[in-house]
Amino acid sequence: MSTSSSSSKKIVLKSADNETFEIDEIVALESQAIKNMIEDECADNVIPLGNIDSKTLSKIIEYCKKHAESPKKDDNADIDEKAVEDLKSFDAEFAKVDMPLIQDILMAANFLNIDNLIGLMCRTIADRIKGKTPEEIRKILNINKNDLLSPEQEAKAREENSWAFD
Amino acid sequence: MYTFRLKRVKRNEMIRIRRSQEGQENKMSDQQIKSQVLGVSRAFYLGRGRRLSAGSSSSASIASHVPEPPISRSVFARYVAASQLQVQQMYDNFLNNNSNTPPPRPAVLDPSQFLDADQDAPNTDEDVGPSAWRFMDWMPSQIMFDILSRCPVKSLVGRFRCVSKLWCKYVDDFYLAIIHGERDTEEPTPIMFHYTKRHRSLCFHTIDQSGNTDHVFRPKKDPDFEFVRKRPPSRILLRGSCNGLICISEDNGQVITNLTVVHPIKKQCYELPSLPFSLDRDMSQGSCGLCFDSSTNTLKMVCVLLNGIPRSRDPDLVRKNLHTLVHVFGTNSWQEIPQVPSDPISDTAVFANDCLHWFAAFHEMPTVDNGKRVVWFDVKKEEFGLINPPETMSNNRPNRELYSCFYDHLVNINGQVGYYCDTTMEVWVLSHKKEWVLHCQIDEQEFPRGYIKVLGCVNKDGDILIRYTKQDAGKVLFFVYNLKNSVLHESHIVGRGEGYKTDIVMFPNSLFSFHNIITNSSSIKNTCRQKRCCGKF
Repeated sequence: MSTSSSSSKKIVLKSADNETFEIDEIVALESQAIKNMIEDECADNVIPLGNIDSKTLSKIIEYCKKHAESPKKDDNADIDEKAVEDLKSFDAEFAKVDMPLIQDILMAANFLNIDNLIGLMCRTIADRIKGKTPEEIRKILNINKNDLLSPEQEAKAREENSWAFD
Repeated sequence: MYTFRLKRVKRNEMIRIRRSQEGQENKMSDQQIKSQVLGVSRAFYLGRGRRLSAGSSSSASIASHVPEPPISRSVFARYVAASQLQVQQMYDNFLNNNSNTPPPRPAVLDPSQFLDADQDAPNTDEDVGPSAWRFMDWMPSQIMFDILSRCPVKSLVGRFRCVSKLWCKYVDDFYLAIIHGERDTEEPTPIMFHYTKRHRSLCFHTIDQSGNTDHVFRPKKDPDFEFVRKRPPSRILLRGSCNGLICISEDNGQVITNLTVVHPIKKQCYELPSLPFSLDRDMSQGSCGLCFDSSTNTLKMVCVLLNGIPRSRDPDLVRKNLHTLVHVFGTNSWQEIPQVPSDPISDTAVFANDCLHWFAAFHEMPTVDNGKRVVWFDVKKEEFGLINPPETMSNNRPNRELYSCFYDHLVNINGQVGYYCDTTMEVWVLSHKKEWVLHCQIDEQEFPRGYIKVLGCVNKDGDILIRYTKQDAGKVLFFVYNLKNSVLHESHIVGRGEGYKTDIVMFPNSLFSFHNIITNSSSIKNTCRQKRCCGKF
């Protein structure tokens, strides 16, 4: 944080439960949506994020801060190996949260258009549902019960792909 | 199908966001409202949409997957009101300037008429907190595809299709097959096949992998799929594969009578229209190749034939009689394109890096020192090219004088073109820069006197599967070559015996199938017709 002096531009975000977060512009630029707003000069005041609660937002800011500090891949070819490893372990640690929070972060990241974070969350969800049975997946992801296949349809789907069921 | 899904996702998103945002936005200025509506939609349509469609452009189904931006009810209402005001002002200006014939007044828009219509949803649960959102209700399709594309094929087709109706649609979507293929994270699966007597049929077995070590292939008892010849007394032969789809030919002993492509796992079958030229059974002067054109998202079969002349040594005469024919899956004809290779082609094709690869056909008997040149066809650009064989190191040559490049062959090595050089027992891989890189050299001591065929990679580490036929006894053995420690392990097929000519083909675990191609073909056909209109004969 020492590099970002107090003179750099600040952006204020406001969560759904009216908590405000002041962050450096460079951190906010991780979000493509906020970047667009800054470019369109619509980000002078507080940016209200009415669909993101403060818990989710603080997690997202934590992520953006870390990634804004780390050197970007396309900056130079001979990037510090240690920095890459560091970011990897940060991401792994960051994803160790419960499923509802992952879904909230994913939805918010999609809204704010933060590519890396969307990728990380999708990977996390994929890792958690791999190899699980349909029942387990419905439970993990809280799938709408009105949309299930009828027993006949399910039997047909199993029959078609019996090779993959063992 | 998509309209329903998107509408549903949008509706539920809007209800959620609407609830959590109302009360906040009353304090927002009109400028902010406008920026939220326009800014968000721009971010969605340009940012996310472009990223995910990159590399697989021009399919109509992709455009429909771009999610709707989430906009709250009150933001929307105020946006409508602001637009309404603008229209009213334009109308008033028009009236002031043109007094004689006033046009009808613009209709008054009520934002609630758009919003309330979808509020009678039956399943709006009452929990407003974001954590109680139901996963599928708000998840944009783009995100779902992102998640599913990171899951293994086995999970997807075996289990995920049964999760819900919506998931079933996602898994069967052709778009998922494309982005899943681009991720390329799958370990290949061996599939055993064998012919029945007199090549009447070809049976495919998946390998039972329960409690399996790497070196035992235990085929499931009944074949998953049996391909029976359509026109007796023809014979069936396997002619290469692409994305898990396998090309099969039927011949009458001399010429190939028809070509069929099968998906042995999904038990699907696609018969190609009959060839306008005859193709020799031994494929020594002409061949075909199955490929996927990612610029139009179509499967294609490309045939290069030498028509009308007996074996000639005059290269110009040969070139004049070469024909390139392309069949686009979902259409019902072959079309000739003007491009032809510099040489006739032979043997089975290998598809890798958007290019088909064949051996250039010989016009005379090869000598020991020659390798075979490789003809490639870039499917996207529709151009041919020629590559020299890898320059094998002469001091590496084991004592195999009896062997020539006659037994050289091309093989798919984890999505790259591999060249097996029989005189040196080396496997070379063609890099993206079209240069040969040595993959491994097999120890000749292990295989005295016999024929070797490299069947492909058994895993992502690049370990290769080898079929070895002993020269005198005709016995077939399988070996796995471990790349890391250069050790060969003999592998056994357990429980075979009902058929003969048992062999293994490596299935790359892709989601490709024909049904999707054909249902998606209406949009794809148009693209192809435009692309090909100048190249018809």
